Amino acid sequence: MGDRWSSRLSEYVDDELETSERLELERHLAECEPCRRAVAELTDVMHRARALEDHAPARDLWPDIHDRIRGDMVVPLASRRAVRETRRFALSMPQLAAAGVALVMAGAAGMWWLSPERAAPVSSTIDGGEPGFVAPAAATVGEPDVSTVIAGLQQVLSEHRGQLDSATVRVLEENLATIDRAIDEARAALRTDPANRYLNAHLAATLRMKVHLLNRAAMLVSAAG
Amino acid sequence: MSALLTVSAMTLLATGAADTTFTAAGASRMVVNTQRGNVEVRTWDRDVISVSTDAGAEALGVSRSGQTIRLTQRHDFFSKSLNIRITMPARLAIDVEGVFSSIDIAGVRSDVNAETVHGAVTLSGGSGAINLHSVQGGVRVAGTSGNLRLYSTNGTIEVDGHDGPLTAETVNGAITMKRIASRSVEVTAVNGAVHYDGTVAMDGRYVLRSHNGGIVLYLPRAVSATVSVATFSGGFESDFPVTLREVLGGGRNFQFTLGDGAARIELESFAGQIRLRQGSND
Amino acid sequence: MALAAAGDAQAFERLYRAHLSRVYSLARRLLGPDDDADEATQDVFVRAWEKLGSFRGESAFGTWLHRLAVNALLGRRASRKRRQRWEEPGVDAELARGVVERPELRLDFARAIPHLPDGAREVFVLHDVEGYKHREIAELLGVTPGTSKAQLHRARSILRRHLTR
Repeated sequence: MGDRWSSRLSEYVDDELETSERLELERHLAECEPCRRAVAELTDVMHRARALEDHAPARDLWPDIHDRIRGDMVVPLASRRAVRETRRFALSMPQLAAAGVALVMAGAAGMWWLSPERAAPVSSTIDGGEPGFVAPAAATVGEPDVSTVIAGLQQVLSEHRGQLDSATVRVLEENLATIDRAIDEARAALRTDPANRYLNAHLAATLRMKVHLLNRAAMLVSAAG
Repeated sequence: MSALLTVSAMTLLATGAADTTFTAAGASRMVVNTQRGNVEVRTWDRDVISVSTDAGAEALGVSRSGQTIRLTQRHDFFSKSLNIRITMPARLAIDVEGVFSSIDIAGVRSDVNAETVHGAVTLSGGSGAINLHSVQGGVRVAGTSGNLRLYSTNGTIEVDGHDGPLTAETVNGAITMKRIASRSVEVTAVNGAVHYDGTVAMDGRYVLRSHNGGIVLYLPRAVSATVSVATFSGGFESDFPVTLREVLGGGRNFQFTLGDGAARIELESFAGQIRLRQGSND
Repeated sequence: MALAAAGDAQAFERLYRAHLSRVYSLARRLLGPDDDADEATQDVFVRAWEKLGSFRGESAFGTWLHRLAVNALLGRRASRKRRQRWEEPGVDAELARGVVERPELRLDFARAIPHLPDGAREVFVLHDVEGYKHREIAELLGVTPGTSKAQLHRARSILRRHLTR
């Protein structure tokens, strides 16, 4: 069927043609049996589609869904295996966001993670073994420390970044890189002067900004998802 | 969760008019949720709210829950850009959340909350709890009072005239503050300069921090403050005569006193130049 | 609804059971034959749980859930990085042949739908099954309304051919 109307028959079925076009097509239909048949069959398809019934799946999906929404883990099915292997970061997004907020608030209230009574530098838990950064125990039992929160947030982000548009991802990544450069410079400076109170506080403040930004990104992801 | 009451605004919107007006009686807060498109809020002394959009009334949903009136961009899954203009009573608190949206609010006399991802936030007037947040686009504020909290990730923060505590943070962008009357200022930039020109109250605390950028602080000649300066690879210069009194914690950290040393000023720049200027920049 | 929003999994289960068939059937139709409708349905409800706090009641819950489901299901195609060749006529000829040569699809209209080419299938399901307008579909899929109409016609033409045999 090669006439000029064949690709537009669906529009006719849906009553989307301009009046003049519709009249012209109807004149054509009066003379074209293949087109009339096509219109009838396309209409039939449309009605069949509308009449389709909904069915439930063969197996009950609730147990798996319940598993995923309660308690610790809220991750897509495909990445559950990867998350099990790194149980340390198994915090749900709302929990991480809450922890991030708690850290930010604690940091703003004062230098939460400096313990001035420590004389000797202690290995940092953030990147393992770097001297100079004094990292005390968490302020309260059960509160995750900075390294866990940062790593957890970064993992959540890398798993879910597909949900954000590319412009947002680019801005977040550029700014995370800016903060990371500042953190690296602060750490390098601390290596030359480990007891420097300003440098310790500055590193802590810059890490806090990183948590804040990651937290913001996590909230954008959960809003976009 | 209170029951949701749909006001007759829904009927008004259903008529297809691009302008909708409904009462603000009994309301104390207006919330706007949008995905794409700019939001402009202005005020008047009538106790009604007028909403107009450039895309027809069916794009916006209106609902009311207790004292909160909520406008939501419908079909936000359809990525449609919708510019919204609201005129409301100045007494209402306003809360605008957008994604690809610039937000421009003027004349409000109550709390303001505005958040966007891509777009600038501009505020003129506002009193109370003010929180403004833009990821990309910057934040500009003028003539506010109360507790001001400003966050930008990629963009500058500018404040011209504020009375009350001020917190600001940006990763990439400068923070400029002038005509500030505050007893508590805490401002941090990673990649950007910080400029402060305002009062220094006797019981005040002023913390200006940057990693890469310079810090410039304008102080009146007769100021009374204890000033702590810290830098790693930056420098320091001052219009005021400075005698180093104490070296704290090693490195290039020092403290000095101006006048009676009443206010506390902390100036920190890891790599930038810290400057103390006498007088105002106005 | 208020209970579910407050975090009560039991209340959410009731919502799940009430809307399961609708969501599952939408997933079956919208996804291609090698995508897992069971897993997709789970993902939709998990996402609905996560976003429950943002449901403001400005529409019926079913409507809100349906839109969330459409978004989520369409997103699966994007994340699977399948390339949809909108304009290639050869694909349809192969598909039409394939449909005709698989006798089990001839009589089962519902089972044939997942075997439509991606773009045609999505437009067909959204327009003819779910009742969206071309303008809305165009924005959802990031195409022009003209493309949406062409894809609809393509889908109907393929399905029509095997219905009449």
